[in-house]
Amino acid sequence: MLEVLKDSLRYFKKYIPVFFLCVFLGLGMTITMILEPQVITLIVDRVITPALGGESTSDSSVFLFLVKNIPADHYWQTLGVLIMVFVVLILIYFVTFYIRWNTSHYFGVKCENAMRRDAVNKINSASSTIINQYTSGELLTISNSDPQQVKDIYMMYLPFSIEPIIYISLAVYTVSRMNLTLAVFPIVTGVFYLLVTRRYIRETRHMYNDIRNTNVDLNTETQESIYGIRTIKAYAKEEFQAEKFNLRSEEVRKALFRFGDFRAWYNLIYGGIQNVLYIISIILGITLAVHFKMTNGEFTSFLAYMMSISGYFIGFTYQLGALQSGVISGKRLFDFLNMPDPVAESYGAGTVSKKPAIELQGVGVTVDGHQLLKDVNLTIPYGAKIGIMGSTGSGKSVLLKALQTLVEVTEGEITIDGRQFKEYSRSEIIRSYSYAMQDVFLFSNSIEANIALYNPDVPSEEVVKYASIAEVNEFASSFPEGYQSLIGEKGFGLSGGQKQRVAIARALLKDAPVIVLDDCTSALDMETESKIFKNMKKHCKEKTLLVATHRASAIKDADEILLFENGSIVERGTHEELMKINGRYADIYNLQTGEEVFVNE
Amino acid sequence: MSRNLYFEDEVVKNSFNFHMLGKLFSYAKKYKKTYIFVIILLVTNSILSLIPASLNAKIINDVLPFNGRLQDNYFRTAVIILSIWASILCCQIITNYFSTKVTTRLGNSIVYEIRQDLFRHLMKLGFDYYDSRPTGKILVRITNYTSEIADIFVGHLTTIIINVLMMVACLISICFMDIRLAVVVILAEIPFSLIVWLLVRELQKRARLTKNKASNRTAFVAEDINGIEVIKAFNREKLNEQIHEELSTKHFRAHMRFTNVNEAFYPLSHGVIRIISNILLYTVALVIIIKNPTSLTLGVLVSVTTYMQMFAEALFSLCQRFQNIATLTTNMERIFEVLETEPKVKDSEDAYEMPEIKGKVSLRNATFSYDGTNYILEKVNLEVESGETIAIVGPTGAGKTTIVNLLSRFYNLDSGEILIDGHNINQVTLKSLRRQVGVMMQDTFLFSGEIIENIRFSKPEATDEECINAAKKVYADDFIQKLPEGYHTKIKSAASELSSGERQLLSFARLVLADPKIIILDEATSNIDTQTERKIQAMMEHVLKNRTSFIIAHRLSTIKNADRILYIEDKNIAESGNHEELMQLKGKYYELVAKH
Repeated sequence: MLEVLKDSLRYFKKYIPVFFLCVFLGLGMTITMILEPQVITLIVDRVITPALGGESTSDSSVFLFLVKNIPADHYWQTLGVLIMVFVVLILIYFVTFYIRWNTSHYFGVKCENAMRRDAVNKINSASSTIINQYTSGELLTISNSDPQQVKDIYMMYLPFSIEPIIYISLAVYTVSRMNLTLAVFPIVTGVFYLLVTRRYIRETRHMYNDIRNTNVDLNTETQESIYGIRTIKAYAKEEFQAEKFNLRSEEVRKALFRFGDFRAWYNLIYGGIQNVLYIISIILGITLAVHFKMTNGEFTSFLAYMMSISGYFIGFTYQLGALQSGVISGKRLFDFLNMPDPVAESYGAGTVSKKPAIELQGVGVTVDGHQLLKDVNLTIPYGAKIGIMGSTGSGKSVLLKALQTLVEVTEGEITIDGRQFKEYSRSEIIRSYSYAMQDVFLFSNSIEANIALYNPDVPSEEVVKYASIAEVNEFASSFPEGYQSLIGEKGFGLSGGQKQRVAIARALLKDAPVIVLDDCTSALDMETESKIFKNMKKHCKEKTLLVATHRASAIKDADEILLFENGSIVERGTHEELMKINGRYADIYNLQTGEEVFVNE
Repeated sequence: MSRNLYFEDEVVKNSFNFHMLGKLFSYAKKYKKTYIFVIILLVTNSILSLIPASLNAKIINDVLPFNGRLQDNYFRTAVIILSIWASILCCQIITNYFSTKVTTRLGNSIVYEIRQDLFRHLMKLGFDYYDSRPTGKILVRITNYTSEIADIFVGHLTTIIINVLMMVACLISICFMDIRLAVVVILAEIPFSLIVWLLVRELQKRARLTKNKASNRTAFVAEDINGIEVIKAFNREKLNEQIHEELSTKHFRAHMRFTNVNEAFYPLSHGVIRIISNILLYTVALVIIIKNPTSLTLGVLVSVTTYMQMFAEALFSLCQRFQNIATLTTNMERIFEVLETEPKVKDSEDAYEMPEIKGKVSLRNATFSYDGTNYILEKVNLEVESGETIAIVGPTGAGKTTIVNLLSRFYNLDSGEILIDGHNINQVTLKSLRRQVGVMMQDTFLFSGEIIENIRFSKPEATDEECINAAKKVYADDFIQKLPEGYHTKIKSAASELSSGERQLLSFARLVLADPKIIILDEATSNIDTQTERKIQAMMEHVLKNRTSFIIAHRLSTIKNADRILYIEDKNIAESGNHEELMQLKGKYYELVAKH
């Protein structure tokens, strides 16, 4: 618990003065709550009782001084004064309450948003080793719900824990003014409660942990179902998926059941303690009254105080319990935020030149004991055109990602313009690549916004220019809303080939010195593909081009072709050289020419 | 198609009405008996809680000294009163225990059921629903909005009933004790209720706005997380940070506007209630005493004030319930929006199960558009014999994927019909249709879990052996065996550990396991390398031999081997025939092939 408080403090540091203001105002509220009965006591003792013929008594009310000097039978005057006092107390309560909560929300939500900001930024900038440890549901919970729970520690649970302490002290003081010995009683009460509370808090924490975990799983399951709806429907598995979902939902329910039962049980225990103490206090009160040590008015307020002191003790323990949900959320949130990212930090701050020359020496990538890339030696001068081929899973994408720091190199070294890879800033390395990936992920936005992802402020003509190079213009301009047509997440609404073209246009707009196309023309027919390459030859011929593909025809003119198998380069050279070797490349090329890819899409 | 994006608030079609509340409460109907039990417990509790006031009065009147003198038999009276009091307290904590436990269970059960219904209904909705708004906004309906409603069932429902009963009981008690005081109190509460009503309406509006802004932000973050690779590759971190900040700020402002009303509600109602139940009461009491001193005793007054406090607390609690429910009306609006959206594609009332088919497919005058105006297909007629392999070619947007979508009835035709073995696909159950028509789409979606479970997805009752065999057939076995835990390797839905081609192979294995009678392949091998594809091709030929299949393909070899080729253009089938026939035609197909 202390760790979370320490971590969250850096956000809530600014909030501390407000925090104390809130406690102070809370004090004001509770003071008015305490003082209200005092006014009532006086009304009973000095207005009603005398009016009924009894003697006006009571000398323990705080407001006595206001009415002391009014003659006993001027009821209306006394009542008038007391009414004004009461109304003032109510107004003070309103004002203090309103200010307390409004400022509390204001600063609380600001701090919460700061935590959210940091969480989202960490997600965006952390290396994949860290992100891959979390499910999407977990990440969403960390950036969305956990900050809220942590904020509640400062906005609600902590202040609510402090106020009872203050109230109890004041109430004890008030009670002791009636009769000193009585003050012992609340303290005894406190001891009883605290004995039970330690266990309560610990178990509450476990419960909140379970509840959070089951909710995260539910989250993940729901997201996947929504994303995978096409597959689910294609196999008519709606029922099946609903069953899977229900299992998760069931876990959530069970966790909440356990929590509910747990709280009912502790309600019982605390209630029992409270009632026993109440009965005892009645007995005490009666005893004192019949020994003329307490007035009737004091009797009533004494009981009221005892009841509320008990209530405040219970409230205090419940607040400590509720605080545990903030502790659980805080732990997850800060574990994530504080997770060291040695990968991200191993990079320097250098910027890459506009015409980078890249060199790989003995480069290898091993992930989880699995060697994905082995001993790659490659020179890529600026402007080179390199073709990469290989069977599924042979390491093509791994190489392309490793060049962009999207995957960590575990053996060998990469240099850019002669300098070590790690001397550069990671984001600057990424900035020098225009990357069109195999799986196209588009955002729910217009076609234009998607193409202009790198630079949303670019003028529309630029967007159309790159769209034309990527052969997007021919279909986008024919849509009723043209480039403003909205496409959903994952690009639903476009065919596979259209999506790939948008992804290519998106990459080209970035205008980086190195263009990487990772099997991103697989859904295009040869004609469209060659049109795109032709366009690119015209508009970006001086840039470095790295193309991974299954179609030999696409990379025939490359300066160097690499054939990968099981993570290593097994053949390399120009097209002519490789054909002369008559090895695997030649096989593939021959296979494919007799059956070219053909119109489509 | 209208689409809601992350930065736009969703417009609510049906704003909250009591009809919704009624429907919500209908979930509680089946627990009627339990609720009645709980209410009895709570009523008992409330009745019991009325008694101490009188006991208190009795103590003051009969036990405590009056005018400086001890009362007769005060000790015996005290013992009796205290015994009664103690038993009452005992009963109360027991009834509290059961009522809390039961209502929490009840509330969570009902939320579970609402969630179940919501999800099940969501699964029935068509792609148009999913495409019309960001995932995050659909997500919050299922996760957050339903759990927030739990409060209604755990506490509010019973509390409202109890509060009302309590208020009535207290008022009646007061009436019996002194009717003049009761009347005054009732009259004073009326203007108060009016103020509360107005505040609640305002609260509702502001709560809706706040929730909309929150779901905008959630949608953005959800998409951010899912598209994280692209965001990194395009150096979008700073920009996305800005957008997130803007969304947060908008939410913050809406939240503060909401808070301004929300936090005024409590002290306002608190203050007014206390003034009415204390000041007003005593003032009226004083008037009565002065006019008619004997008509009111201190004991009665004290009892009345105690009952008044209880009335006031019940009233205050009721106000708070309304306050809370007002903030939950948005939840209800969104939840019912889903539940009330009719899926466009659903089983007709007399839908029957399609029996085992042989695979004869007919399209009769099939006409289709996504939006009712731009027709993709117009009066298409097609007869496919069972076992035929049909290749579909044509320019972009001509309607190739559309035909696929229609055959599986992902969308309904505008007019015309599609028959399989003579059965109109509109009249058979969707489940029986899609079991026998297998589609492999371009999009490979894998679920987080083990690889073998992903394969088994298409046929949950398949054995491990059957799954592995399916994987072997598509040559996926090789790469799976190389994974750390083979078939039991856990992947995440993003499945970034696997390459595109590997994922496509898994998708293929799924299809092969399902073994449908009609197979539709939409760019099924686009990401697979040539050599693997070669191997698969042989398998595919075998698989497709006695099955009707539709293939949207690139490769000339696949197309050449098809029994028939359909060239789709201009909303219809422009050319139809096998490769030789179409080449001789020297038409559009010929032109395409001849280019190479």
